[in-house]
Amino acid sequence: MTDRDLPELLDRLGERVQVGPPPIDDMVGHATRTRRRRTAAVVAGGAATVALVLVVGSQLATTGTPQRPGPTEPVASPSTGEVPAGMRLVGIGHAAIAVPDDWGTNQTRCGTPVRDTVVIDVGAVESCGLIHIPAVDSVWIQEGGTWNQFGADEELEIDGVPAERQVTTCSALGDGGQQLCSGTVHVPAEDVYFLASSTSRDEVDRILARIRIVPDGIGVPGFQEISMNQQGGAQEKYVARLEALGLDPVVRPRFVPAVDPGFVLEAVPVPGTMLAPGATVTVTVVAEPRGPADEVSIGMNSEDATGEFHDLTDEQIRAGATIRLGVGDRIWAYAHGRRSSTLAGTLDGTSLAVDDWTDGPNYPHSWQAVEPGRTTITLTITADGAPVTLGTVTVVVGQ
Amino acid sequence: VGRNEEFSEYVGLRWPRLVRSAVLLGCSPAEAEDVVQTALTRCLVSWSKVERAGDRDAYVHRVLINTFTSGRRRRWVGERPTLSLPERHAADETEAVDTADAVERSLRRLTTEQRTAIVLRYYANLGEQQMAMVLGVAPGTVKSRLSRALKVLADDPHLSELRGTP
Repeated sequence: MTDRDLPELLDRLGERVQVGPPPIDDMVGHATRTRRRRTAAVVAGGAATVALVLVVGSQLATTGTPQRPGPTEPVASPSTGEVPAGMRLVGIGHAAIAVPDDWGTNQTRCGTPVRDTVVIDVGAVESCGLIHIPAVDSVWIQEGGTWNQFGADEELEIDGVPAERQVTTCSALGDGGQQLCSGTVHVPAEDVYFLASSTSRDEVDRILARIRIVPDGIGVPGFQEISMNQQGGAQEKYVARLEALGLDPVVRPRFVPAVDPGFVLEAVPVPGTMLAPGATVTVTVVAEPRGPADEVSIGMNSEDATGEFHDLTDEQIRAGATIRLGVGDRIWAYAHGRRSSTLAGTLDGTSLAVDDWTDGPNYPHSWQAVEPGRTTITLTITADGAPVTLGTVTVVVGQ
Repeated sequence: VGRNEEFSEYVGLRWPRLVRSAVLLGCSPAEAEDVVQTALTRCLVSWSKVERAGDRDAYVHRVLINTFTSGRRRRWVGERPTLSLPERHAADETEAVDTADAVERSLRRLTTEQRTAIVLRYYANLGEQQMAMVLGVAPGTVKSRLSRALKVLADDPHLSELRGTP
């Protein structure tokens, strides 16, 4: 071997190595955390000095029993509302936590955080599990009621407001030597829980140390749990909750078939956003139905010769969609909601015929393409003895 | 262009080559990705130093070599959770395997210093001055390590039949 053929041989050896994509997000996130920890360590001495001065000043300026804030009027504090550089506040009511700007929101899979994230107002969770639990930092913000996973181990005060702390505990994450640590803080006055998780016990404590009581800010509460539990009654409950917190809800209705009117669909700004008292929150809710057609949702599906399925959504059907099939392909319609059992389809054309699968779940609104041509399917339900048209789909059958 | 963007661009360009360099230095492929990830993260934490270094590649390789060496001393036992299993292609690569095996065996006959010198010079394409900076040794030391390494490889029977192969 000479130095002339070495580069080529090494190249050939190197090319045999399958290299995955660079985990840039992981590296940037890790580097950011490392820099932040270094910065925190550098300023820690200075911060302690400032705190000492504030405490002494406070003792000189006040007499008698220190004021304890109530649930609705948290006391002002020299430290409240201050957000460290590179962080944002996320909270519910006056209880908030500062999280790094580069953290995501609700970055979960199967209910498990998959990158550094704050988790708030989660609705339906995918019914699945991850083989490996990703080693990320996260904080869950949960409001209301009793969290059965919480047990108070000690009491503390945050900006003068009483709080409860469940100690940080760690458990192994698989066989790789990594661990997942978590700890929780409950702020009873706001009835908000903060559950922090990290691979490091110290990092959990650092995350929870960033909880603040913000007297002049109000975090938008979540609506998902209210909607799931209250369905059509969610609008009233959620609007009342926003008003009780001092926010100004504006309700915007939207027609959604087969969902109870009053079901809350969206809040803007999103839950967790810190707003000034009196700020507007636009709440989108399901509108009262205009008629029987709004009380049912419809869908269509077709299967071609290769076994591929092609969907038509409720919106597409009502807008008059066109779909192309081959001879022999099948297409069927289905419905959910009020009067869905009266669903029927009327054909105009000869290229489709009612499917002969009489025991099928969609019979008799299931058809087979029998010859080239164009046929329309008009879907209806029956209300008070009269047909109500939901939509018309054009089916073009080719060879 | 911000620090993170500049870093991302650099990593996008260099990642495969750096990982393969780590494999040639003696890492397993999985270990190589971890070593390079650790090294690049260290670089990003002190990205201003990388920028000031003037020779970015030389600086990054220096951190890579240090990370690799320290990893050898403190045997790697960690693992990184992954959402998807690293599937491998399974094409028939008999000839390539033979070549790789021969080169691999030859590299194993070198001392750590010699192997590092060969990889930096002939795979990472660093000049002798850059290598001196990366390894923290005099340019003359680089020359002598390369010279001795090449002599070992030239006498290696595993590689003799590969000479001149396309």
